[in-house]
Amino acid sequence: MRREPKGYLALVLHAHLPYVRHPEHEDFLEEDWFFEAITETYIPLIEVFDGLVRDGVPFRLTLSVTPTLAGMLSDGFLQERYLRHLEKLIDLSGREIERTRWMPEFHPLAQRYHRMFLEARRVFADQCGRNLLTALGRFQELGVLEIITCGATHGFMPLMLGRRNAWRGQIRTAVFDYRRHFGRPPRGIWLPECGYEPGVDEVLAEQGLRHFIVDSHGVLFASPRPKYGVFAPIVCRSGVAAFGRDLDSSKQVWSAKEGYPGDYEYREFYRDVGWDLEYDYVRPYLHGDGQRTNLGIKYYRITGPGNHKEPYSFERAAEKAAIHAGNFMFNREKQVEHLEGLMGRRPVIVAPYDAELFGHWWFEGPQFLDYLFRKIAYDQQVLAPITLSEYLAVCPVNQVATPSVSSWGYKGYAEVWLDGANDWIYPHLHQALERMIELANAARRGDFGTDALRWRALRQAARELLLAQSSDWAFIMKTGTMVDYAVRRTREHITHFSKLHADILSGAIDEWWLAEIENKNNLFPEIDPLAWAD
Amino acid sequence: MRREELELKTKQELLALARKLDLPRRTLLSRDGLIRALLAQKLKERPPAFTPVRGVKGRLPSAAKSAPRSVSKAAPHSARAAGSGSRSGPTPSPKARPRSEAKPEPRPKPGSKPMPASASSSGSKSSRPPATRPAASPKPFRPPAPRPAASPKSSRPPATRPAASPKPSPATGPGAARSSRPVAPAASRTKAAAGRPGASEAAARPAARPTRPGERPASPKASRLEPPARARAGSAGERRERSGPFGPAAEALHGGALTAPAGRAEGDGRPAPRAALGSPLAMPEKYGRDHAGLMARDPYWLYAYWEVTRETLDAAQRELAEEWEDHRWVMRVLSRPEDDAARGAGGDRAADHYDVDLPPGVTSWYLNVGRPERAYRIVIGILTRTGRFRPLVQSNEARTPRDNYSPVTDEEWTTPPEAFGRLYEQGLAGVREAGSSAELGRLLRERLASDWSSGMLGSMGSGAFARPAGQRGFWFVLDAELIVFGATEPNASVAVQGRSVKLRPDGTFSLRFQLPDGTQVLDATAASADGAFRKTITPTVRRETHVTEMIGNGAES
Repeated sequence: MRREPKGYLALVLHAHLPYVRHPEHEDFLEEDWFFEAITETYIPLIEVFDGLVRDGVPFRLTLSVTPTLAGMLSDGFLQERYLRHLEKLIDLSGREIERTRWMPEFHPLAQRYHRMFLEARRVFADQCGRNLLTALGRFQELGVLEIITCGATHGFMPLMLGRRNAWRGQIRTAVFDYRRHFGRPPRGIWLPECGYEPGVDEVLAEQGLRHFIVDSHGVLFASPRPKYGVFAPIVCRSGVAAFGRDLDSSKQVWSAKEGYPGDYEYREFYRDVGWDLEYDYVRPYLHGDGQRTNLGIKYYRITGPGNHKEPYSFERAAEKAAIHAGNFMFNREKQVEHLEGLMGRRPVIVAPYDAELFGHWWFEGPQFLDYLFRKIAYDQQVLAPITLSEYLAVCPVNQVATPSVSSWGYKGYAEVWLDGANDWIYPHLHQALERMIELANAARRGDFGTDALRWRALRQAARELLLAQSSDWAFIMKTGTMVDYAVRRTREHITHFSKLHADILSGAIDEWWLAEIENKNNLFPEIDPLAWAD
Repeated sequence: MRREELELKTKQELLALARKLDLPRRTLLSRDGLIRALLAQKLKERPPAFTPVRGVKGRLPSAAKSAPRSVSKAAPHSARAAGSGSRSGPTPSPKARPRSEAKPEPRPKPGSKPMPASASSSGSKSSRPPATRPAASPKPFRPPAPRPAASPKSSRPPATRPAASPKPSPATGPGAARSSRPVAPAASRTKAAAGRPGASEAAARPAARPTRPGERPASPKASRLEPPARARAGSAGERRERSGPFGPAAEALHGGALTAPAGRAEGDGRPAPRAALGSPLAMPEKYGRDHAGLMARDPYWLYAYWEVTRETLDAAQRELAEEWEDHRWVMRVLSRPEDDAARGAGGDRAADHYDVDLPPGVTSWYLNVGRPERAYRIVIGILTRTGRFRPLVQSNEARTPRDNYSPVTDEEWTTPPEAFGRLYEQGLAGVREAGSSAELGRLLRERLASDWSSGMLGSMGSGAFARPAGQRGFWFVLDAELIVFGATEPNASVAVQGRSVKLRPDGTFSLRFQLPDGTQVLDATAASADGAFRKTITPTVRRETHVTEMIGNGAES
C-alpha cells in the first residue's frame, strides 16, 4: 500500500545540439556531435525508458528536446549519415573483437561494444524507423515523459536588447515546430541556457506555454521574495510558472570534482581507441583530413587522478551506478522530509541536467537513471517522481513573483555569452533582428503582396536570423575549442541574412541561390516570419 | 556558385573544382586567385540573362569597372586578394580606406557605384565579358518613401531614429560599407586606450575603466563609494529637464551611411575573428545606421557598442562650428533606480549620470557600473571644450540584474525570518547558520561561480568537461600488434586458434592481434571445400618486454 508522498523529485533533462548539417561536405567533423549523442545518450535513454515501461516502473521525467535537435533527428539526410557512421563503428568493433583476442581484460569489452552498436542500429533503424522523436513521442503519450520545447535555435534571451519580437520569433517558431513533431502543443519550455529576463514570461504566456525553468538564483532573487525558496514554483504575473533549480542535487551530479561522474570505477572519457591505437588501423574510421578523433570505443576506467589507467569493467561500473543512485535517492528523501516540515506543503525538487551528460560524458548516466527510478519506486515512500506539468496540476496554488534576470552559465548571468571572445557578434545579431522586424512589418502591411518568391526569401531570412542567434556559437567562442567553426557559422548566417534582406527589399530574389540555402539550412519548414512583426 | 560559398570551401575543395573546370595552373596559387578564377569561369557558363541581376547585387568581380568610384585597389578586399590569401593582420588604416569600399551587402544607391565585392576583384584578370555588366546603375532597391516611416520603432526611444530619416536602412550610401572589423575585443581596446594621452585619466575612474571585465568589484558597495557622477557630469539636472529622464535626447540624428568615430584603432595586435577563417565571408561590418546597444553582462558590468553615421557626425560638426575644435568623444552613462529598489533600501534613489572619455576609434566598451538593479542608458556624444554635450546616438535601456534576495516581501506569503534562513540554507548544503540573507546571498553567488553550477556541458564538442591534465613530464609508450596473413583456395575454410576466418573473394585473409607479453601458439588450419585436403601451419610468437628508465646522466631508477 503506497502512501501519499511527502514531496516530489522533478528530473529535467535538456537535450540540445546546435543545427549542424553539411550536405555540401562528404563528411563533417562537427556532425559527430550529433552521432555521438545519438549512440551514447539518446538511444540509451530510450532503452532505459523502454525497460521501465516494460517492467511497469512508475517513473516520470521532463525532457526538453530543442527544435534544432528535433530538426536534426527528423532529417532524412542526417539519419542516413548516422547509419553510415554507425556501420563504421560496427565494423571497427567487430575487428576489435579479433584484435583483442589475446587480451582477456579487453576482449569482453570489445564484444560488449560490438553488441552495443548492433543494438543501437536495431533501436534506431528498426524500432524507431530512424526517427527517435517517434519513440519519445510515444513515451509522452504514455504519460511517463513530458517533452518540453526550447527557444527555436537556443538563442540566449537576455542578450536581445529586451526586444519582444526577437523572443516571440524564437518561441513561436519553437511552438509551431513542436506541434509538427509531436502533434500537440508543448506545455513548458526550457529557456535557452535558463536565460530569463522579465518580460520573456509574457511572450511565453502569449504562445500558450505554462512553465519554464530558471537557475536557483532566478527564483531565490525573485521579487517579492519567494516564501518557499526553490522548492515550489513561483508564478509570474503573466500566469506562467517558474521552477528553480535545486543546488544540492545539481552539485552531486555536476561537479567534476565531487560529483558522481568522476568516480574512479566509471569509464574514462579521454582514453579512446581513436587516439590510442595504431594510426593505419584506425585511419579508415577517421574523417577525411585524417585527424585523430574520439571514435567511441573506450577501454579504461578513470582509475585515479594520474595518467595510469586500468581496464574498465562494465559490471563494477554498474554496481557503482547503483550505489550512486541509492545515495542520490537517500539525499532527496532527507531533503524532502526536512522541507516538508519547514514548508507545511509538499516540496518539489527540480533537478535539471544537460541530457548529453548522461551517456556521452558520463557513460553510466543512463544506468544511474534506471536504478534511480527503480529504487524510488520500490525502496522508499517519501518522494515520488513527477513532471513539471503534473506538479502544477497537483499543487496549483503558488506565490506570484517575478524571477530575477539569470542564467545557468558560469556566475549566473550573461558573462559566458558576452565576453571579449564573442562580443563582436552582437551588433550583427541586433542589426539583423531590427531588419527582420522591419521586413515582417512590411510583409504584414502587404508590401510583398502575394509574391511567393519574396515570401520564401522572407522565411529563409527568419531561419538565418534564428540560426545566427544560437547561443552555441558564442559559447564555443568563449570556451576556445572549435572556435573557427562557430565564427564561420555566425558569419555565414549573418551574410545570408544580409543578402536576403537586400534582395527582399529590392524584389530581385536570386532564386537559384535561395533554393540552395533553403536546402542547406532547411529547418522549420512551417516558420512564420510574421512572428517578428510588431 | 557564389563568392560567399566559394569562400566557405577549403582550399582542397577549391582545387578540386578548379580541376574539374580545367582552369589554367597559374590561377591555382592562392585561395583568392582560385576563387576569382572559379567565379570568372562560372560566369562564362551562365546564360547572360542572369548576369545583370547578379551584377546588380555586386557579386561579380568586374562589375566594379562600371563604377569608377568604387574601383580602388586600396580597398581591404583587394588588399586581401593581392596578399597571400590567408592574411590575418590588421586591415589597412582607416584613413587609407576609401569610403567607397562597399560590403557584402551592397545595395547601391541609384546612380552610385555598385558593390563591394566587385571592387575587390577589379584588379584581377577576370575574364568576364564586359557586356554582361549592368551598364547603368541598378534600379532602386526599395520604394523610396513608404518604408522608413512605417518601420517599427514603437518600443524604441523615440529620439534615436527619427522616423523621417531619409535613409533609415543601411548600406546604401557611398561609404555604407566601410570595412571595419567586428568590435574589438576588450583586451585590445585596453591597449588602444593606454596608448593615448588622457587614457590614464579615464583609467583612474573606476566606474569607467576600459578594462577587460574579468573581475567584478570587490564588493558592489565599494564601487558605490565612488560616485560615478563625480565624472564631468555638468549640470545633469538641467539637461534632464530639457530632454526627459535620460538626459539629452539625441536630437537631429540622421540615418544614412558611413561609420563612426574616426574608425577603429588599428594595429592593436589582435586578429579579427575573420582572420581565423583564413578567408573572409562577405559579412557586413557596419550598417550605416545610427545605433547603440547596451546589455547587462551581470549585476556590475554593462557592455555597450555603437555605430554613428558620417551624416550624423557631419551634422554635429556643422552645428558645433568652431566649438568642434578640441572636442572629445564621450559616453554619457545615465541611470535610474529600478522600481523595486526604489521601494526598498533607499540608497540609490536618485537618477544620475556621468561621462566616460572614449579613446579615438572605439566602438564598444565594457562599463563597470558596480550597481545592481538599476536601469541604464548610454548616449554617445561630443563634449566641447566649453562643456557643451552634443549627443550623437542613444542606446536602449538595460537593467543590471539583482544580485541578492529581494528586499520586497509579500504579506500573504511572508515567512518568519528564522524559517526563511533555514529554508534557503537548504539550497546551500553544508552551510549552517548562515545568518543574514545578505550572507546567504553571498554564499549563493560563490556557488554560482563554482565549477558545477554552469551548463558547461551543453556543447558536445567543447570539451568543457575536461579534467585538468595530470602532471606529465617526459613520456613514452610502446605497444605491439601482430599481423598474420595468408591465402588459400577461395572456397576453402580457414580457422586460426580454432576460430574460423573470413576469406576475401580471392582467398586471402589477414588477422591483426594486440600482442601481449608471453607466448602465442597460432595454429592455423585450412580445409578444402570438399573436405579432402587439410593443412595446418603453426607459428609460435613470443613477446618479452623490458623497461628501463634513466634520469639525468645514466642514473638508472
